[in-house]
Amino acid sequence: MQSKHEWVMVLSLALIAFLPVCPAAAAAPDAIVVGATVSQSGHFSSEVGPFKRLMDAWAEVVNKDGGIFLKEYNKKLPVKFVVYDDKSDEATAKKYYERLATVDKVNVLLGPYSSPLTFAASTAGENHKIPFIAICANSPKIYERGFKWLVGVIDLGPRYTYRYWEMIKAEGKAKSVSFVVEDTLHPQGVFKGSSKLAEEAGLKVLSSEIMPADARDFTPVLTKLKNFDPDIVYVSSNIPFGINFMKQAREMKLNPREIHCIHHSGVFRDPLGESAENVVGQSYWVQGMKLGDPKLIIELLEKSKVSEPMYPWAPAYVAAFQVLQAALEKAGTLNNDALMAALKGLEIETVLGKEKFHETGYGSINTYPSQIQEGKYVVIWPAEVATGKRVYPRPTWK
Amino acid sequence: MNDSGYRALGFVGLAVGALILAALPWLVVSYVMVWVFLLAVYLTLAVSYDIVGGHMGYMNLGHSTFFGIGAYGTAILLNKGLGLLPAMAVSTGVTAAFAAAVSYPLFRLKGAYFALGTFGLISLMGVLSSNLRDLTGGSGGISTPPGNYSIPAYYLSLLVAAGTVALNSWIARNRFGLALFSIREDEEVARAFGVPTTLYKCATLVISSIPASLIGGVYVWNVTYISPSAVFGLEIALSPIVMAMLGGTGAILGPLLGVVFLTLVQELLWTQVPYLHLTMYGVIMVLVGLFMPGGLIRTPLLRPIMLRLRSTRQIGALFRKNGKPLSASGPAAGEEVR
Amino acid sequence: MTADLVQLLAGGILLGGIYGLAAFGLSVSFGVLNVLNLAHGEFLMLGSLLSYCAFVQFGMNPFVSAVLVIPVFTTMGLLFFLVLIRPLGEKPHHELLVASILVTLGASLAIEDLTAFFWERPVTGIDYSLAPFEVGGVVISSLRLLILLFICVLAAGLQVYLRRTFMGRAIRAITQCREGAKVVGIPISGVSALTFGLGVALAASAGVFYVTLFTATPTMGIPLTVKYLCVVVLGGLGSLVGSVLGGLILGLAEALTAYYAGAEWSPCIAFVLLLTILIIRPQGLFGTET
Repeated sequence: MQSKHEWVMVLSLALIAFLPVCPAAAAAPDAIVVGATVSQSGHFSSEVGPFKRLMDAWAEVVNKDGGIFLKEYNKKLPVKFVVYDDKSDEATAKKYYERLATVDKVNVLLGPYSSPLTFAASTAGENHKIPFIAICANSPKIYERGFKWLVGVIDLGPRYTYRYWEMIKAEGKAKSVSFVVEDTLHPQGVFKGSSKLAEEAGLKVLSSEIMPADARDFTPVLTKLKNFDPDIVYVSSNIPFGINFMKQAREMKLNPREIHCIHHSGVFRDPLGESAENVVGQSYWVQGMKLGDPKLIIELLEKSKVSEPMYPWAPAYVAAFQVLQAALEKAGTLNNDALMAALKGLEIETVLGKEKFHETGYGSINTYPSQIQEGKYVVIWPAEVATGKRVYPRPTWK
Repeated sequence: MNDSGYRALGFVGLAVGALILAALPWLVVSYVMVWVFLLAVYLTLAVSYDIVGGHMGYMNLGHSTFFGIGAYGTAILLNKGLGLLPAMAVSTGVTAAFAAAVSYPLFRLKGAYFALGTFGLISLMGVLSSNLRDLTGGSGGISTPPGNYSIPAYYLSLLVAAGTVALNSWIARNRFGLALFSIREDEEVARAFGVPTTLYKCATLVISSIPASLIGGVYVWNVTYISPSAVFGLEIALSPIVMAMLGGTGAILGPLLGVVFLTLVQELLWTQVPYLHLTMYGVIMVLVGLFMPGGLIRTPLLRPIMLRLRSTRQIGALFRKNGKPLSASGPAAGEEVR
Repeated sequence: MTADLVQLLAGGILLGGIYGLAAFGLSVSFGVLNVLNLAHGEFLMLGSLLSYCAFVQFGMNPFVSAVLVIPVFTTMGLLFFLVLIRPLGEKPHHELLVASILVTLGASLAIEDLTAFFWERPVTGIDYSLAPFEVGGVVISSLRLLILLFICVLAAGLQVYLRRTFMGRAIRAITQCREGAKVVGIPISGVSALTFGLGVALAASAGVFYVTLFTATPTMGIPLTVKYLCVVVLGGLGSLVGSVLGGLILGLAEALTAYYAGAEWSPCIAFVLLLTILIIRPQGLFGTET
C-alpha cells in the first residue's frame, strides 16, 4: 500500500503542528487578563478596525495608578488585553475565542463586532464558564439560548429606535412611513422592531423595500417612493448604504416630510455636505448631551486617536470597559462564578446612561434620536437629554 | 533506506499518528480540537477542489458553493428534526444534483472564463440564500439545535477528510484519473482519442461536490450557526483553493501540504502579529505564483523526497521525456508529452 | 407608469456607462495578455481614493481628475506588469492560469489590505453634485449624463486609436490571433505592457467617476472585478463597442429587475446574463470566435 508513505509525511507534519499550541503555563493572578477579537480585516474593519488601540488606551488609563483594586487579593491588579483579528469571519472568531479561553486562559471575554460573530464566539464563554460581555451584538437570537455566562452591553436590535417612535407618537404629526432596509442583520432587526413600533404609534406603513447591502443604485426604489409619497422615509442601514441613498435621493428630489437614517454620524455627513441637513438618526453619544460624564470617552478617543464620527461604536466599547471595571470591583475577585454574578446584578451609570441587564443578558443602553442641523448633531428627544429642537417638516429640495 | 524500510516506517508512523489523533480530545485543551477540526474542513475542501482543479485542469473557483449548499441543506433539515446523517445525506444529494445541473452551462467555458463563471456562482448562491428568507433565514443566518458537539464533530471531520484524501488518491491512480489528466493537457486530443469529455467533466464535478457538501454538514452541526457570508464568502471560497495551489495542484500530496503549511503559518505568525494578515497572505500568493506556480511539492528542495515516494514516481513516469524526468517546473505542469 | 419606465431606462443606461468604461480596460488587457487580471478592481478603487484626495486637497473637479489619472495609472500599470505579469512568461495555458490567478489575486489582497490599513477612512465619498434637470416628470441626473457623454467621447477616442494607430492595430491583432501577430513581427511584450497600463488607467478613470456617484471602500475591488468580467464576457473579448454595450445592457437589466422583482434580486442579474450569453453565444455579442 503505497499511500502509507504519504500518511507518514502527513502525520509527521500534523505532529509538528501541535507544538505551538501546547498551552502556556497557567498565569499567576498578577494581572486581569481580558480576551477579545477585533475585526481588523474583512468587511467589519470599517466599523471597528482600530479598536485594539481603544482597548490599549483604556488599559493604560486604568493601569496608570496600578490597576483595578480587587478585595480578595488586597491589591490592585493591572489589566492586560489579549486581542486577535477575527477577520470578520464567524469560524475564525469561534476559533480564537476557544484559544482565548483554553490556551490564553483569560479571566473575562469581550465580544466581537456583529451579532453573527458574537453568536459563534459566545459559545466559548459558555462552554468554558468564562464571563462573556457582548458589545456590538443586539440580535434577540443571541439571548434566547439560555446562556448563563453571557451579558450584552446594548439593548436589543428591534428596540434600537424606540425613543424615536415615542417622539413621533407624542407629536402626532406624521401619518405614514416607508422603509428602505439594508439586508444585513442589524438593520433588518431594527426594521422589524421599528415597523411594529410605527404601527403602534399610529402610522401607516406604505412600503418596505429590502435591498442588498452593497446596492449602489437606488433609482428604482426612489421612483417607487416618489409615487408613494410618505411622510417619513426611514432608512434602516449602515453608513455606506445610507450615504448612497441620500445622494441619489437628493438627485431625484425625493421630498418626504422627514428622512430618518439610523446611522448618520460623521462620515455620513462629509460626502453629502448640504444634502445631509435635517436628516434624523440615532446616536449613542453626542458631544454636549446632558447624559452621564463623557470624560472617559473623550480621553480614550484622544489617546487612541480613534475618531468618533468615523467609528460610532467606540462609545459602546467605552461603556463595556466601565461595566467590566464596575463588575470587577464589585466582585472583588477573579473567581468566575463571583464575577458573573456581579455582572448580572450590576446597575451602574455609564457614559451612555444607566446600565442594567435583563434576565436573559441583554443590556439597557439605547440610542437617542438626533438631527443634523447646520452640520451639527442635535439630540431632539427626550427633553431631559435634548440639546435642541426638532425641525419638522424638513425644507424641501428644489 | 530501501522501499521495504520505508514501508515499515510508514506502517509505524500511520499507527502512531492515528492513535494520537484518536486520543487527542483527552490529551490536549479543546482549542486544539477546534484547530484540527478547521484543518480537516479546509483539507476536505482543498483536496476535493483539486479533483476538478488539479487533475482535470478546470479551476473551479466556486467550489465553496457545494460547501454552502451542503451546510444550508443540513441546517434546514436538522431544524426540521432529521438526524445528522440523514440530513447530510439528503443535502449531499441536492448538492450533487446542483453540480450536475450547473455543469451543463459552465463547462461550455474554458480556462479563465470557467474560473470566473464559477466564481460568480458563489455570489449568486449568496444572494439566493439572503433572499429566500423563509427557507434560509435570510442574511441573518440560520441556527441549528444548540449543543456541544465538538468531540463527535472532530472525529467525523477527520473521517470525511481521510475519505476525501483516499478518494483523490484512488482517482489519480486509475483510468478515470488518467482520462482527467488527458482532458487537462489537451481536451480536443482527448476527445479524439475517445474520452467522453462532457460526461467525465460532469461526473468529476459531481464527485468533487460530495465531500465538500458532507463537510459543510458537519461544519454547521458543530458551529450551530451559519450565515450567507460565512459559507458563501470570500474567505471560505479562496482559502482552500489557495492552499491547494500553494501546495501543488494535480499532485496528491500537494493540497495536503498546502493546507498544513498555511494553517501552521497562520497559527504561528498571525497570533503574534495583529495587523496586515491579508497582505502577508497576498504576498505569499504572489511569490508562489511567480516562483513556484507548481506549488511547494514541486520545488527542487523537495524533489529527492518526492521521488522516493513510489506513488509520485509512478505519476511522474507518465510524464517522462526520453526516459529522463522533466524539468524543475515539475511533471504534471503541462509540458508537452511526446 | 410609463414615466416610471422611462426613468428606469434612463437610470439604467446612465449606470451602465460606468460599467462599460471599467469593463473595457479589462477586456482589452485580457485579450492581449491572455491573463485574467483580478486586481483590476483595485485600480478602480485607487482611482477613487486618489480623486478624493485631489478633490479635498486641491478642489479638483472630478472630470479633470479623470483625465489626469490616466498617465499616472498607465505608469503604475506598466510597473505592475513588469514586476508581476511579465515574469509569468509564455507558459502553457493551465499553468499560466494558476500562476496568473495566484499573482493577481495575491496582489489584490495585498493592495486592499494595505490600503485599508493606511487609509483609515472606512467609507469615502465626495460632495460633488450638479443640479438635476427634469423632463416631463422624469428626473435626469445631469452628473450621470455628463459622465456618460464623457465616456462616449473617451470610447470614440479609443476606437480611433485602435483603428488608426499602429499600436492600436497591434493590440487588435494580438487579440485576434496571437500566433499570427508573432509571425508578423509585432513585439508582444511591448504591446502587452502598454495595453495593460492602458487597461489599468481606464479602470482608475472609471473609479474617479464612481466616487462622485457612490461611496468607495478599500474592499470594493474584488466584487466589482467579478461584475466587470461578466460585462466583458457579455460584450465579447477585446471589443470596445461590446464592452460599452454590455455595460449598458447590464445597467438596464439591473434597474428593471430592481423595480419589478425587488431590489434584492438585482445582484443576480449579472450572473444570469453571463450564463445566458454563454449558452447562447459564448464569444459574446461582439466577440470573435477563437
